[in-house]
Amino acid sequence: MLFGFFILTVLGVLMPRGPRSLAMQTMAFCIFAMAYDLCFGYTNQCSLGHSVFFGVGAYGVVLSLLHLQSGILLGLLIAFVAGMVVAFLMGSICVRLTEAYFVIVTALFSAIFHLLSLDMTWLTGGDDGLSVTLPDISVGGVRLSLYDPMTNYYFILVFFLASYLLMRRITEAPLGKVFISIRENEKRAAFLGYDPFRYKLAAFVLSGAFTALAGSIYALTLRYATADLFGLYWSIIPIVWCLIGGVGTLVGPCIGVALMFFFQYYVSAWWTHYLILFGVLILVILRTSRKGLLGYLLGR
Amino acid sequence: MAILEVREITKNFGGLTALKDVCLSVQEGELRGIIGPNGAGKTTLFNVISGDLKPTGGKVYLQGEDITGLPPHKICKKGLGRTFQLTMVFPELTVYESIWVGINSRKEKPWDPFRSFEKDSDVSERAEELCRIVGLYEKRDELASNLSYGDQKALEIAMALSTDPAVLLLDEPTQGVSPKEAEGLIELIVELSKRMTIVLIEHSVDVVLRLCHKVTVLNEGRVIAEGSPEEISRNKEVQRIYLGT
Amino acid sequence: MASEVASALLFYLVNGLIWGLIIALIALGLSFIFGVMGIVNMAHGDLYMLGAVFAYWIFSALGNFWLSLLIVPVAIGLLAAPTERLILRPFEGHPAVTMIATAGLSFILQQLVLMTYGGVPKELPMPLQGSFDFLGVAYPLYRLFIAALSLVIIASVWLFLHRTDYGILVRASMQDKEIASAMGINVNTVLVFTFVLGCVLAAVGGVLAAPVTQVFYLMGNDVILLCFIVVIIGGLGSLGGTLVAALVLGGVEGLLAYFLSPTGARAAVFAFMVGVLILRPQGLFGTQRG
Repeated sequence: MLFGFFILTVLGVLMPRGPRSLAMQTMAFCIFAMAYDLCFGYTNQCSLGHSVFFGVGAYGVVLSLLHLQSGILLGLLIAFVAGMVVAFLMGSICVRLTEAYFVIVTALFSAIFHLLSLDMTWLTGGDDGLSVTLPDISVGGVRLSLYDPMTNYYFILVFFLASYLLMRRITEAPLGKVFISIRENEKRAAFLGYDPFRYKLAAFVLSGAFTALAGSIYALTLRYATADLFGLYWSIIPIVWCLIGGVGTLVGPCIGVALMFFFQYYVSAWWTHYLILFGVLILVILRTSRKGLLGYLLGR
Repeated sequence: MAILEVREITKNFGGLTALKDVCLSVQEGELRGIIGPNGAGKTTLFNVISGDLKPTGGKVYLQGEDITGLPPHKICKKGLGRTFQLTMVFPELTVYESIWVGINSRKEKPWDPFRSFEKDSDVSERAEELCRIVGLYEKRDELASNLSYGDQKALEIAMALSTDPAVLLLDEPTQGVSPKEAEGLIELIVELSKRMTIVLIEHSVDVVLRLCHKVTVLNEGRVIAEGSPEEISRNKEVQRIYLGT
Repeated sequence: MASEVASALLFYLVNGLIWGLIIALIALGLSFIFGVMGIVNMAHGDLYMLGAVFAYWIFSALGNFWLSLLIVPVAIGLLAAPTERLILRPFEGHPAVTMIATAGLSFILQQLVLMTYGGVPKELPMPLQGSFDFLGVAYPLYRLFIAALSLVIIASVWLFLHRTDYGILVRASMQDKEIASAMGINVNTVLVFTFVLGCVLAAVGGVLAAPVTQVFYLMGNDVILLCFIVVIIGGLGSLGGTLVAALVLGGVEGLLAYFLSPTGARAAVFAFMVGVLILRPQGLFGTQRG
């Protein structure tokens, strides 16, 4: 993975403009995918509500830039914290629920946020969204403009790298082992002295916060946020990323994102209905490599 | 004072009474056996004591403290460990990791993300020690799902020990295990009983009568006899249940 | 003035109730498929969409809307049976996995329709002209026809499940597959049959809705969540429960649509449902699957 980052660093200089802006979105989605994996892969919570955090993150940064003139770094921090708070509130309600209930209630939250964001156009701009101009960032007296493509690229790469290292730290530390033990056998983990609810909630909140970070970075690459980001599509797509690449690995979901992006931009160039291939791919993966990707879902 | 005290526990499932006014008083250092025919309520009793089920009535005290109806993770913290009749290991964790997770739960901050998994020496030393105690040291890096059934049973015991319990509940630790492996597990239980209080459910009456200091017999959710192995083997009602005469 | 408000409210309420009946049809199918087969069918909304799209095609080709009520069930049945056998069978009984698999199926169905039907929403003319005066509200006749036919279909499904041998087999397999197969029931046929029945119910809902809504390749996404909620609240496999839940949901949403925007009304309904689900987590999804 670190080698991958090295390649990305080098590629930043070499890449032509078009692929580089794709690469920037891909990195935002990779943060999203890893964050989702924290919840889905590590604690087996199949949430359909992550579009909420993605949207909250995007609006978090855009609204703080528009209304608080917060500056980009503070805006990202606000988005991250907002994602954390929303995930905590949502998680306190949802995490206790059994599997099918959890899925449905998180999906309901996703739908509620989507509908409200469409409705409250005064705040969100609805379908048209809100555009934003990005102020310069000054770090230690150096002024950086995200309108410079190269700066923008490395700015995102730094956040991608930092998110990966943080999440890897979490999953490789004791906490990660506890998450896995809860995924493997929730009841047994409780008898070893862990409160499954609190740890699942912790995973959900961490996942929500990093998803919001992904959303805010995505919004910065687009320079706007729309109500669409709350849509169910953004809740389903991370499941697909994780499944394609392999759940519970952090790296796998990033591979999933890369593959998906290949489909979206290169396959769609010669065939617009690439989502069909995508659906077929999901079915084939579920059918052939259950053990690798979904072994734990089926093994129970 | 008894270290584990069960007072008049009753558990109903709908209209079915699984336990009726069960009392059990286990002294510190005791190795207590619980026997009874299938469906007598032995595992249900463990489930009530360990917090898996809330009793319909009655109280459970651990080291003098009322633990009735607490959730399992709190009861575990109060010093109770248990194993399961059908093994409940973490299939995708290794032996070492499974034990490690249990030891970790007793740490001050079990969630601290800035503690390292490898470098926490008191946890890793204890984990290796437990691997040795249950005879799984050679297999400590095997995934739990790859172990033989007997080894999984041993891992169950190690996981229960990992939280450093004052009282250990063992639910049929030798069931479904080869005679040779069973012999090893029984030796392990005898060894452990020198250091802690153990309550043992066993299918094999011979094993219980041979090992335990005191034996409780359950039938149809009630305690029908309690006493030393000699008393139990002479008890008419117990003979009637087991010999069917 | 007051009476105007009252009749407007009544209009919205009846609209909501009729929408509720369509939802009930679709949700019943969803409920059977989950109850008998353990499939959380994320593609169920797309069968509703397929019903509507087929109705549009049949109308464009033959100039007759009513024929689609006959043709669509057959066509959907012919599609659904092989889908169950060839695609979904290996996943059955694992709710989370079926959910993802059917989400994949949903992508495929939507894109196939987008390819052939196009991405522009289309409308069908009302197959029945005229309206019906009811407490000072002129109510379109076709919507009343929707209500009547839905009720007839729901009643026939009830009669089928409770009064025919085969229906009792389906109910038995919903209770316990192992007991059912021990009783000598051919579970295989029951599975195919249930899936076909469930899909056909959704498609018929789509046909009925086609003239009163926009026929669009993503229209399934609008109903799928509502149907899940109805199934959970109403109780798995319970016809009466599903019907009541769908009517309440439709009615409430209809009334709220008078006060709020349609999106606001739906958001309010969803929020209400979150509350219900939290207060009643022992509901049937929970108890049946643990």
